[in-house]
Amino acid sequence: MRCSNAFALSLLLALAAGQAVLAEQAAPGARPGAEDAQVASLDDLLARFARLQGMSARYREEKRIALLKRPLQSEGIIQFAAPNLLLRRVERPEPAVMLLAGDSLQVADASGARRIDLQANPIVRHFVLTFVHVLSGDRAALERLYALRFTTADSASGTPAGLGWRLELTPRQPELARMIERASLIGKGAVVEQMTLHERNGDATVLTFSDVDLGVRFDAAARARIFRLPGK
Amino acid sequence: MGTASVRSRPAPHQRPLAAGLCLLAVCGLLGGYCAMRLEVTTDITHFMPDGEDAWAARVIERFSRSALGQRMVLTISGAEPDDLAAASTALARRLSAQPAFARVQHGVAEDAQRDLYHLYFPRRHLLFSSEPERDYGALLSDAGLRTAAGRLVAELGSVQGTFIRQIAPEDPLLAFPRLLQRLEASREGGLRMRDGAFFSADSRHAVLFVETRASALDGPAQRTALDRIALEFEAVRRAHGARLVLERSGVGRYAAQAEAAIRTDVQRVSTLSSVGLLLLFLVLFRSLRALVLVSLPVMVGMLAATTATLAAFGQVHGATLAFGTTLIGVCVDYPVHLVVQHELGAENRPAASTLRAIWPALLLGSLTTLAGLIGFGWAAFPGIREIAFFTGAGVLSALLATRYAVPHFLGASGRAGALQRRLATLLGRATAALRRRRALSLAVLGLAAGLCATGLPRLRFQDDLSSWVPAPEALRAEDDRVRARVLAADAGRMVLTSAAGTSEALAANDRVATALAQAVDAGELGSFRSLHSLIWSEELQRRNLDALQKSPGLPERFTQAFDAAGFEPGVFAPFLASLSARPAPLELKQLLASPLAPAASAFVLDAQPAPALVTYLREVRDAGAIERRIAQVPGARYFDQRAFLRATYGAFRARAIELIGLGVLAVFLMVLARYRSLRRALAAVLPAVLAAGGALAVLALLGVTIDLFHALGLVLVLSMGEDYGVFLVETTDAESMSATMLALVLACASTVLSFGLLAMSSIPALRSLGQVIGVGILLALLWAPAGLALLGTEARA
Repeated sequence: MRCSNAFALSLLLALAAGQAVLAEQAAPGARPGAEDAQVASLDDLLARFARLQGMSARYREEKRIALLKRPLQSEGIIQFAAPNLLLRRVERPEPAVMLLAGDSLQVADASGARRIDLQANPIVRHFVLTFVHVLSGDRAALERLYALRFTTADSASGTPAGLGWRLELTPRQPELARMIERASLIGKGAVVEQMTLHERNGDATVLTFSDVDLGVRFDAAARARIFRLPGK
Repeated sequence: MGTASVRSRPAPHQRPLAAGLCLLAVCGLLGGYCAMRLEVTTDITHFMPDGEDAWAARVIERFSRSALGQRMVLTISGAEPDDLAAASTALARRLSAQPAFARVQHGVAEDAQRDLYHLYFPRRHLLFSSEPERDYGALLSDAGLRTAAGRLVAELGSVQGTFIRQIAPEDPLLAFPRLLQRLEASREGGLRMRDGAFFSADSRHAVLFVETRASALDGPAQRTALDRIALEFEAVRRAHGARLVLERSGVGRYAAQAEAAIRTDVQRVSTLSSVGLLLLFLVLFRSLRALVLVSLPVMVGMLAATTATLAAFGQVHGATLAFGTTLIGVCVDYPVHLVVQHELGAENRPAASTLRAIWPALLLGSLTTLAGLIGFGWAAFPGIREIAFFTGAGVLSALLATRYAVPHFLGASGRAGALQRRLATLLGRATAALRRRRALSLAVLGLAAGLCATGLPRLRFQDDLSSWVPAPEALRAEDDRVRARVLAADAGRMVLTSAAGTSEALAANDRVATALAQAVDAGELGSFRSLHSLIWSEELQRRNLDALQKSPGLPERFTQAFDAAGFEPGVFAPFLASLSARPAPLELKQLLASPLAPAASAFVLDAQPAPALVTYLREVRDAGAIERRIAQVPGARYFDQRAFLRATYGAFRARAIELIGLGVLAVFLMVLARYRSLRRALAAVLPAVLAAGGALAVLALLGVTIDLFHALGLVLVLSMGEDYGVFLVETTDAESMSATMLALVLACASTVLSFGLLAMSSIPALRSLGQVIGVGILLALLWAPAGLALLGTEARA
């Protein structure tokens, strides 16, 4: 068992969330509303993911863990700056910060701050690379790591049929597959509404997004101010 | 006096063929024995007093031969991390296939974490805290359990949640993650991992650890290993990128460089020396036969000395070979004296007659040399005793060779050439003139004494081993860069822990770790690496388990706290069942047999009576404070290898000088007994003493600091100086005096050419030897004739 696999899963969630909401960004010069158009294919979806520059959104996470009577819930903010800065700030129940910068992951919570070396574990790096491939719209690279299944379907919010879609990623790597059964993203148009991670042991994590701002841009000063751990 | 030399048949009573065959047979036997039995040691304990701190010296010896002492650190840079990892793996694979290397480690195996789990998870409760009563007490209180339950909930929701979920049913108190964090923090040099390969903290350098099979102090073997590394890296560079850069660190590099530097220097000096001796003998004797005759007893002496030492001690120390062969060089006086006296003697004089005339001088000269070594023979240092034995055997053998072999090869007497005769006459007249001017002679002696009085008070000593054979700056700079990348410990600074048994040693090591942690907190020390991060004593492990299992009402209170935190009932049944288990403590031998053996073995030295445990220190800021803390732990000792060696060699040097003084006294008493005349004894010995003192005085006035090699060179100066004095005092007639003076000049010139040229060496240790011998022998030659003034008009007894 590898502790690094655990945060790898969280990266999957966090980065996928970032990617998901980033998909809402309109292409430079695109007409308002263009991103609401139906996603015709996986390639179309990946292309929209790749056109991001910055993002801020609120999230609500629910972890269904067999050990616990009730699901764990947390809320907070996710911020992203292309190409590889991701900050997840937990506001409830306990403040915590997770910062991903390149191949460095840092975590700060009530027990202190620590750095987790992504390079120490190929599994973890696979997860990071997963979303690098998503960001770059590299379908071939994604398909080396996952079996991809993209379908159009009704959205969870009841949008008229034809605008919803669903993307499922099933790990091909045996080490990943031992821990994760599948991950699924549900959205409509260019918006991801919900992401779910199903683990082999029956636990599941569901992320729901709101208040998405795709127009945010982080200059150098803003990056230095925002994408850091508290107290640094 | 004879005419110009003509190659002639052997003189009567000379049996060169028979003597040559006998000599060959003897040398063959000695050489054969040496070839079969030769074993050279570099054990530093030879240079420590018997019984005094011998344990520390043995530790140094074991350390230099240990895996850690034989380890080199390699770093590769100049490419992206992925390429560096691949290059590192390729280089490790290539080096592992080479017989010169015992172990090559470039990363951690994929299944290492699984092995870590199997080794430590079952013992997670035994390795919880260094202060289990306190920390388990707090954790297992009602409040502590509530906090632990809340923490587990938080961890389940954290980035490490999936891992935590897997172990939580057996480890809800998170003892194993706590242990893993401690192991992670202890990883050597703050190294990172990437694709299974070690990297420096900045990820710019791939890191490999290479252990050679040969001792780190074996210069030639280390050179071979370094050449192999360079060769294999070149192949890797061709395959993985021409921009790759390899840098290295390790004790072996210094040994290889030192050996190469010494060999280069000695070869250079030997070449100059050989050319000089050849020219000297060709000019004076117009043939090389005299050079051969003069060298013969010295060579026999060295061979016999080596054989005798091997027979007596079973091995010979490298320092004995080096110093002993130098001291045997004094024996060149004997054959030189014999050859010159014979060449300048009357024609058709039998060699035996020549020998008979000077034999008392030769015998007394050799006996004074042996007397000078008397003090060495009773020294508390095994190394000094061995040098004394070696030299004594060599001197006696050289004397016997001079007595029984050389005369058979002398040829006819009185064959000296015109140059020899002119020089001898000149020297004879000068000596006679000096002897007639007693006041001038005494003034010369007064000058010699004044030189000593002026210079000797300015003597300064230095005993730093590292200055004897300094490494090039580029070598040191590369070493420092590589060490900085792996956050290596301060070289030679450590805490050594030993006890009657392994369990006791681990218990002491636990206390050392506590003391050093306090030193870090107090700012006395930057950090340290200890075996304590991998294993604790059995006692401490049992205390941990007892503190857990004896917590009153733990199952009920635990269930209550974790139920209240929202956990499903019954999910921690495995943990509750484990509370009654008694897992066996982790033992050192288990650790050393596990995949963690390479990491653990760096802290364990095979020393008697029990293994010594090593704790490495980094950034020692207050050595005194650390030493005081460690002194509180029985069986532990703060150790600064450099300071220890400096003190050791300083004591050795000081003792050697004391013994030299004792030797001078013994020589004086012997000579006094021989002559039964204080004047003669002083005339024979005083000039040598003034020459030795004068050599040190000159060096001191020139600002040269005196070291061990100067002290040992003094022995040669005194021995040869005493020979000069004895030869002169024993010479009664003017004609013989001319020959004696020429012999002294020739002996002096030979010595300066053989050893004095070492003063030109770039190696400080060799330069010291050359300085004191070169200056001292010249002064001995100058002062010896003046010493005759002390004879006054007293006739020989």
